[in-house]
Amino acid sequence: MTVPVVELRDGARTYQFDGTPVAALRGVTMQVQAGEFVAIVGPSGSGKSTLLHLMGGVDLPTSGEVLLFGDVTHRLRDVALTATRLRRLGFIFQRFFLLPMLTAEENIIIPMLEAGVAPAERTRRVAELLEYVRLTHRRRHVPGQLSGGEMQRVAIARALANRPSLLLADEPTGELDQESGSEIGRLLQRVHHEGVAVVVVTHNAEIASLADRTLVLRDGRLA
Amino acid sequence: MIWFLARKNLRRAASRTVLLIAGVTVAGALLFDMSMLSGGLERSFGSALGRLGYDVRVVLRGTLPLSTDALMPDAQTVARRVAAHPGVVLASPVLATNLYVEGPAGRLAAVTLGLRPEVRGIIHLESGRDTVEGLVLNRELAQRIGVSMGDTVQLSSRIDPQTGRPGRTSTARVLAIGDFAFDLRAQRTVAMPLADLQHLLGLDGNPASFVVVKTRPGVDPESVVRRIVAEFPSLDAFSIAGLLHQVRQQLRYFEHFSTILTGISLLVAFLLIGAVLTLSVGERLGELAALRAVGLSRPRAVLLVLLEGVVLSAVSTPLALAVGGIISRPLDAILRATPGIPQDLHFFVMSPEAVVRTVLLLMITGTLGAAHPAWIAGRLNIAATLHQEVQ
Repeated sequence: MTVPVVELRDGARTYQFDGTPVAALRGVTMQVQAGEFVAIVGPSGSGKSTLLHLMGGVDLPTSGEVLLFGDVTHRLRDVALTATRLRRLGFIFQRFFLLPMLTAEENIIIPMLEAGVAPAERTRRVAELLEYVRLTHRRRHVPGQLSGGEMQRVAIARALANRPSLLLADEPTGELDQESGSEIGRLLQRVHHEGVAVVVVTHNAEIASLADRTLVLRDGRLA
Repeated sequence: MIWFLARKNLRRAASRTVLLIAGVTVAGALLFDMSMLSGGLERSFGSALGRLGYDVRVVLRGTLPLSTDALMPDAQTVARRVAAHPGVVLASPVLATNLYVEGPAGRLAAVTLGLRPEVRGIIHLESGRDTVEGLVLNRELAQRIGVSMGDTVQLSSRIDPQTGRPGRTSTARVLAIGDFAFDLRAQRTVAMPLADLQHLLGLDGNPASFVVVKTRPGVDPESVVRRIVAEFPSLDAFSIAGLLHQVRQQLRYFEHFSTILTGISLLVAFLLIGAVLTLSVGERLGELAALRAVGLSRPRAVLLVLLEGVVLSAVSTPLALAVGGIISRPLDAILRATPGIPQDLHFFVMSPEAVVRTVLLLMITGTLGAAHPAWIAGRLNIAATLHQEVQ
């Protein structure tokens, strides 16, 4: 039996607001298998982003466990968790979070630089990734010169830079028009078909329809 | 990657970075000037003393080594006995007093040195010679009393307060006009053979104000000092280091002054870098959170911001050295215009120590200035920041 790429065991996350505990996620148990495409849907404030952050190891559960590639996240040291994110995970954000002073190719190179990929290999992979997201002609452009859809495609290329096994996308079409959103959906599907597990938090029915499985969150619980 | 990102981040808000660098440059220039000032006069004085080549000065015990009216009796014998030490090349008495010198344009008081011909280096003549075999006037005195080489002047040791006429007088021909080491601004100075001056003053027994001593190369002047003090209980001897120690004691207020201004300039640089980087980090919390999410470790996030502070300092430092060097000239000129300062001395003296001190302090300040924003970047809660950024 293969180890799930990510697994929650009764995972819960409670935040403190002015001393008052607010439960964002209440006892969620789920698994994502390698190569699976999972969509997480639900109303605003239902805990979708919190769930994604726990799955990506950028947040830790207040109770229960999150296992990332078989490792319990809250037992890992920050350095180990960071290394896992760098080499085995890809993140896509609603607001892209590209570095505005870097060109498209420089933004894509960042995770490779951090992972110590050799210069020749970096150059080859950047060219491949730009081709993959069909932005070769825009490689020297900074984010301010790109459209929303193009920025998200650069962000997807950045997320794939270190060849992750798991891609986590938080509302990747939230800031895009329908046409750009559809293109992002097709790209995510292509990534999934190439064997990468994809978990996408979305309000977009079209994106959700591409997934193997859709999980619905309400009030911090899986419906 | 950190280096790459740090440079890119600073170029991103170019005008802000330029203004920050300008601010740190000004603070750094002040820091450099204060580094030059803190030991400048001492270094300049030491250098001037060193140029003369006399490592030891012998004075009457209990008198000030650099300013004394007391006379050392039979200084010629003292000089001869000191010169007999194996570590000594030369010992010669010097008599310092004031005389009235009268020429066609009038009569003026002048600092007068009585020197033996073997004492070289104190006077620089236009002919290139530096020895006193006759009457030598400095330019200021020659100009003020209207004499030139070959003219005759009248020398007198005192003016009768009742009649206004000079007392004991002597006439001498001006052998040369030259520059004197340690002349104060606008000081009038005359030098003449020691025996002539003693005779004019009516001094018997070969007295002198002090004895200058030149040691052999490789001989520790302090060992000569110890031997002189042991041999002549009524005398004090000072090496250049000893004289500089005396100067340091007398000029301690310069050190305090420069320490305070150094502290202020460092504080300004620290606050500038700290404020601007804190602002900058606050503006890009989302980016930093995203970078952390895609795999930038916490220590590397801290390092990124610290490096930005270091880069700012590194860029500002050469500019600060250049600006500080330029500003120091007029400042030095202002301080040197103070009455009683020898013309050969400088307050702001460029030295490797001052440069190294400035560079180190600026780099440390840049790093410390970036410490608080780096702490913010390190403590960043990735999930909460990403969540806030999309609200």
